[in-house]
Amino acid sequence: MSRPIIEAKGLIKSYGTFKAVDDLSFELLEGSVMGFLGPNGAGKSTILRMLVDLIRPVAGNLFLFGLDYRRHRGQILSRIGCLIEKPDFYRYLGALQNLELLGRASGIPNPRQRAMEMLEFVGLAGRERDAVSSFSHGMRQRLGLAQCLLHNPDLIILDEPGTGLDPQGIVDMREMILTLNREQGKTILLSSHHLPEVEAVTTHLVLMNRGRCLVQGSAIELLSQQDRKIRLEVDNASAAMHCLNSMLLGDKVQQSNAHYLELTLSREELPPLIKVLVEGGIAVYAVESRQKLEDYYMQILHQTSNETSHVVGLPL
Amino acid sequence: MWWASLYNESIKILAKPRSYLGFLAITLLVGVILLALALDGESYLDFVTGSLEQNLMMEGSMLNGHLVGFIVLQMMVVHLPLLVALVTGDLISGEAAMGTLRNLVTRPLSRKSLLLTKYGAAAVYTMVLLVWLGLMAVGVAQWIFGSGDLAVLSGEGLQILPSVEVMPRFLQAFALAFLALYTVACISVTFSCLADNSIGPIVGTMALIMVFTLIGTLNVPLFENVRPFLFTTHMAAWRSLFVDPTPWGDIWFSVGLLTLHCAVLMAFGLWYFDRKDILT
Repeated sequence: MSRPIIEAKGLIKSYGTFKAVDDLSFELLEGSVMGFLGPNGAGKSTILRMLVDLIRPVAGNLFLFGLDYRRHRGQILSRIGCLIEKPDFYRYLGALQNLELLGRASGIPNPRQRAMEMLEFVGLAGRERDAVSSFSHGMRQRLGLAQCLLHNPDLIILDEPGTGLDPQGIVDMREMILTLNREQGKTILLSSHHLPEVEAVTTHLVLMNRGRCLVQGSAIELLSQQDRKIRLEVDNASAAMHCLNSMLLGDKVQQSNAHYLELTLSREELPPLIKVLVEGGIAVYAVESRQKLEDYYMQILHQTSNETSHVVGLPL
Repeated sequence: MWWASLYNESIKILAKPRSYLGFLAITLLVGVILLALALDGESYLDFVTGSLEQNLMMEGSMLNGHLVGFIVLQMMVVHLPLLVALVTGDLISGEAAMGTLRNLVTRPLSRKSLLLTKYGAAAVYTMVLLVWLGLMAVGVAQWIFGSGDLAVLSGEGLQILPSVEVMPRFLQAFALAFLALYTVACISVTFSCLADNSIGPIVGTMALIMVFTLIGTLNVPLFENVRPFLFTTHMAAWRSLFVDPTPWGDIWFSVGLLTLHCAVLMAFGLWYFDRKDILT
C-alpha cells in the first residue's frame, strides 16, 4: 500500500479577514498524480506555495514524507521540485548557467553535468549557452521543468504547467509528466485550469473553492459517481427509444436521430440497458461513454455555489 | 552550501551590467579629479591654504600622491553610498520582482542562510568597490604625483604627517570607510527584504541618509543628544585617522556604533525575511 507523501491537516491561511485557505486537509499518496482544481481565487496556488514554504500557514499541520515541515524544512525541500506560477530565470544568464546556479543552491555534487542531462530531457540541448531572454515562453516552460527536476526530487509540484504552451508543447508536457510518474516513479501534484490535460494524467483529484476542499479522492472513483453521457449507435433509434421508455429511461434521452441516441445515465443503468437493447433485437454498433472531468467539475461547483448561495442568502 | 550560495551571488552580481556602474563612476570621477589636480593642482592648494600663508611661510609643493588620495577620498565619500545602494538594494527585491526569489527560497538552504549570503555578497561588493577606489585614488595618484608627507587641515590646524606613516593610516581609513559603507549596504539589503521592487530600497536608503545627515547638521538642541548615535555622523570618521595624535576613543566609538547598526539591521532582516510570505 502506498504511503502518504503529503499529509495536510486543517491548514488555514488568512490575509486580514480574508481566508485564502480555510481548514483544508488532504493526502497525497506516493506514486500518484494529483490534480488540484478550482476556479480562480479558490486557494490552489496558496496551497502549492505552502507546500514549498513560500507561504506559511497560520494554523494546521503539514507533514511531507512523514516529516513535520516546521522541523525538517531543508530535508523536505531537498526532495521537492516545483514550478510555481511561471518559469522565471535570470534573463541575463544562459540556460546552463541558470541551472548550474540552482543546482549549486540545491547542493548537487556536479551541477553542470546534471544541468546538461536535464536540458537534454526537456529538449533544450544545443541551446544551453543562449541567454534565457532569447527563449520563447514554451522554451522557458521546459527550462522551468528542468530546474524542477534538477535535484532528482521525489515529489514534483507543477502550477499551471501548460500555460502559454502551443498544442505540441501541451502534448510534450503531458508526455513528460506521464514519463516522470510511470517510468521514474515520481509523485506529482499539479494545478491547472486545462481540465482535459488534468484528466489525461491524474490518478487523484482535489476540487476546491473559496479556500475549502469540496471533494477529494481517486479520479476514477469520483468520476464514476457522476452520471455519464452515453452515445449509442444503433440500427433503429426509434425501436431503441421504445426500449428505453419501457425501462423508464426515456426522459434521459437528450438528442436522437435515425441511428444515434445521446442520453445521460448512471454507471449502474448502462449494463441492463445494453442487455434490453440486444434482447430486443436492436443492433448496437457502438457505445461511447463520455465521462468528462469538465462535466464533473461544473456539476460540483454548481452544487456547492447553490449551497453556499442558499446558506449566505444570495439570490440563486 | 552557504559558500556555494555566496559563489552564486557573486556570479549574479558580476553578470549584471548595473554592478559595473559603480566602478565606471569611480573611474570617471577619480579620473576627472586627478586630471584637474594634475593640470591645476597648485592653484587649488593656494586657494585652500591661502588663509594660512598669513601666519606660515610655505616652501616647496605639498601636492603629492598622498594628498591627492586624501582629497579624492573626501570628495568620493558623498557618492559611494549611492553606488553601494544601487547594487545591494536590488539583492532581494530585484529577485522578487524578477520572480527568481521563488527558485531560491524553495531550495534546501534555509531562508536565514540565503539572506546571510546576500549580506555576505553585499560585503564583498562594497569591499571590491572600495579596493577599486583605493587603487584609483591612492595607487594611481602616487604613480602620477609621487609620494611625500601629507599635509592635512583639521580642527587642530595644519598637520604634517610623515610619508612613512601615511600608508598605514590609509589602510585603517579604508577599513573604517568599509564599515561605514557596509552599514549603508545593510540598510539597503534590509529594505530590500521589505520590498518587491528594486527602486524602493535604493530610494529609501538614500532618503534615510539624507534625513539623518540633515538631522546631524542642523544646530537644533533637540537633535544634540541624537546626533552621536546616527550612523551618518560616523560616515566620515575615517578622517580622524589622519589626525595626530589619533583620537582612538572616538574611532572605537564609531566602530562600535556602526557595527551595532549592522548587527541590528541584519537581525531585523533575518527575522522579517524568515517569516515573509513570498507572493511574487
